[in-house]
Amino acid sequence: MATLSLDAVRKSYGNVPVIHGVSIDIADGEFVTLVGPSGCGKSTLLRMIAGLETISKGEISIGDRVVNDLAPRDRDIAMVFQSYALYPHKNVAENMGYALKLAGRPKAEIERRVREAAEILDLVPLLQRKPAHLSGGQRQRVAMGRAIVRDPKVFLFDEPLSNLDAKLRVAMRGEIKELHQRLKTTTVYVTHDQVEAMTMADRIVVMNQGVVEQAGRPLELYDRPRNLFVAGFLGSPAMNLVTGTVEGTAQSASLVTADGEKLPLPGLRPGIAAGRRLILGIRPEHITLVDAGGESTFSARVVITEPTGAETLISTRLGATEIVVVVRDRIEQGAGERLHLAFPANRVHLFDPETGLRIE
Amino acid sequence: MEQVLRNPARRSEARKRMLTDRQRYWLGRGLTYLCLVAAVIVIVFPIYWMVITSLKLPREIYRMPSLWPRVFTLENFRVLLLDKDFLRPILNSLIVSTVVTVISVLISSCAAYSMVRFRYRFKGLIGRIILFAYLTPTSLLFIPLSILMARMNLGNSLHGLILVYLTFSLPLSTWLLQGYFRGVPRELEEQGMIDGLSRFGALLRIVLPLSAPGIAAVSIFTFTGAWNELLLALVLVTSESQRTTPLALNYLITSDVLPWGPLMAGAVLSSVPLMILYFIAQHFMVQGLTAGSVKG
Repeated sequence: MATLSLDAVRKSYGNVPVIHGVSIDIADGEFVTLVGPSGCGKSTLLRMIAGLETISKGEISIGDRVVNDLAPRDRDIAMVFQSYALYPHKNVAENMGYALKLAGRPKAEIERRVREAAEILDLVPLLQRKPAHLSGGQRQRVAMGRAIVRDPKVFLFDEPLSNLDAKLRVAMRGEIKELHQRLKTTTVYVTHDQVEAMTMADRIVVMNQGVVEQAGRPLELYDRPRNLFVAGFLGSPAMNLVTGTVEGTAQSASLVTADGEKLPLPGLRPGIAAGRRLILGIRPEHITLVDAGGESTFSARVVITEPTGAETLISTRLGATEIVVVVRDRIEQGAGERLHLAFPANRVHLFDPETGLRIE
Repeated sequence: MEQVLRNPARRSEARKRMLTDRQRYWLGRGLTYLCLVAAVIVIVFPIYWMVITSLKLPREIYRMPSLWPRVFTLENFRVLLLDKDFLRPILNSLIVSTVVTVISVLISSCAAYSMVRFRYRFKGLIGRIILFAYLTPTSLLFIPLSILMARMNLGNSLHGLILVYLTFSLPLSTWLLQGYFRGVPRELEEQGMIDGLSRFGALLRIVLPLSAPGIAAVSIFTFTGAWNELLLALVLVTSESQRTTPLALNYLITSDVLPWGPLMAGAVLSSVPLMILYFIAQHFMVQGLTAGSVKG
């Protein structure tokens, strides 16, 4: 176990920069997820930590040792690839014990450690099988077993659940989290799935186009996104974002969209004057249905309703803007009907349309 | 379905249709086997003819050609091995072909690996030059190669022959191996490097074992090419002690006399090492070795 620290790390391929100075400090035993859309540089960053990509500038340290110029094998890390990367010509036990064998550990010790890891992951009956004779979930577990056998300083996961079906993914998510709680090894976990990031991590690092947009505890990011990107990226369905101009006084202010639709702005913060352009963000689950229109409500037309059983997703339209609402009730209204909606003042997020930054 | 079974007229109609389906199936099978048997005859007959001719007496060879010898004899082999010292060219061929194959696989593995995995300047150009070298007709290179070999004091020697054969086998081997290496997932090597291998170790212990079918194919190709090569050997080798098998067979023909018995015996003997090689290599050429390594 060790701390992991990235200090102003940059990466460029020729003249094309892909990572623009990333600094992250990961505490000993912490579980950090790097999350972001495809091509945001999260996997490249992970590969740089592993030593599979060179570092153009900056420093990466594991423990108190700078590892910039160390080969992957000298960094004392274990990595689980999206494609599992099991050696097809070796059986499960050989796959799991290969790193120890290369390190010259005695045969008895390798056998013992492979067996211990296999017991943790329920792999004992599969030890003699070749990867081709395993299911996707089993291969995934072997890849994890191979990582834990080594007892490394840092675990690196590169989208390890992407190739599993939805049900298995949820199960494996739980297993990885449980494993981390048991082993307490510092972990960096890359995913594009924000639900995975939210549910597993002690801390989330949201990346976009090679920069860190925001880092923090999952709910902290969810409740107080620093900018529009984080606001739109975390949460499913995504946060509703409505652009408009402030009208009225602080007591009864409203946001007027380009097509003249009005949204109430209850309890508007001081310092935001009428006439200012804003982007209002409100999460779908924070909008409630109300029986009748009033001063602090607005109405929108239903486009489609999607009942999932536990809750109902309602897509509505306010002028040209789509507003998604999630409610626990089952609703009767069909397409084209008007719904009266409201949201509490303390759930509103405001962003500057020019900078995309959060307005406090 | 139930309706079909209940209605007798429909049932017989269905049976008729089933019968025609079955007939069609057997017709298809019959045709497949017919084609296969024809192909086998075309391929195997020359080999059969070679073997039985080598076991016939001269009078039987030149009189009525028969599919089965009346008298079996090993006289042709005796003439070849004792009078003509045919073991020497076989040994020469074995040395040349084995050395060419081993060096070729070693160098082309490294070359192909670098072209597949590394990024460097002029990589594309080098790749094209390699292909271009392979496409140059051999006959164009007779004279330059023989002058080069003579200047390097490598003329009329097995060393020279090995060097010349390498210039032809390397480009093709490199080209072929590139395809196989590309098929080995990059993550497997990276996993190897994380597990404790150097890059070269990963090539040796992960990429090469997983490219066994490719290595086998390239080895067979190179070995067969060097084993069967006649024209360059004819130009470059003059002394009897340095002759390779095809050359020695060629020298069995004196003016317009074709000693079919010893010639065929020589052909049989020179086929044996190739047959053994093919038998061993086909085991490695079984595909699908990387199945199950990534995704699924």
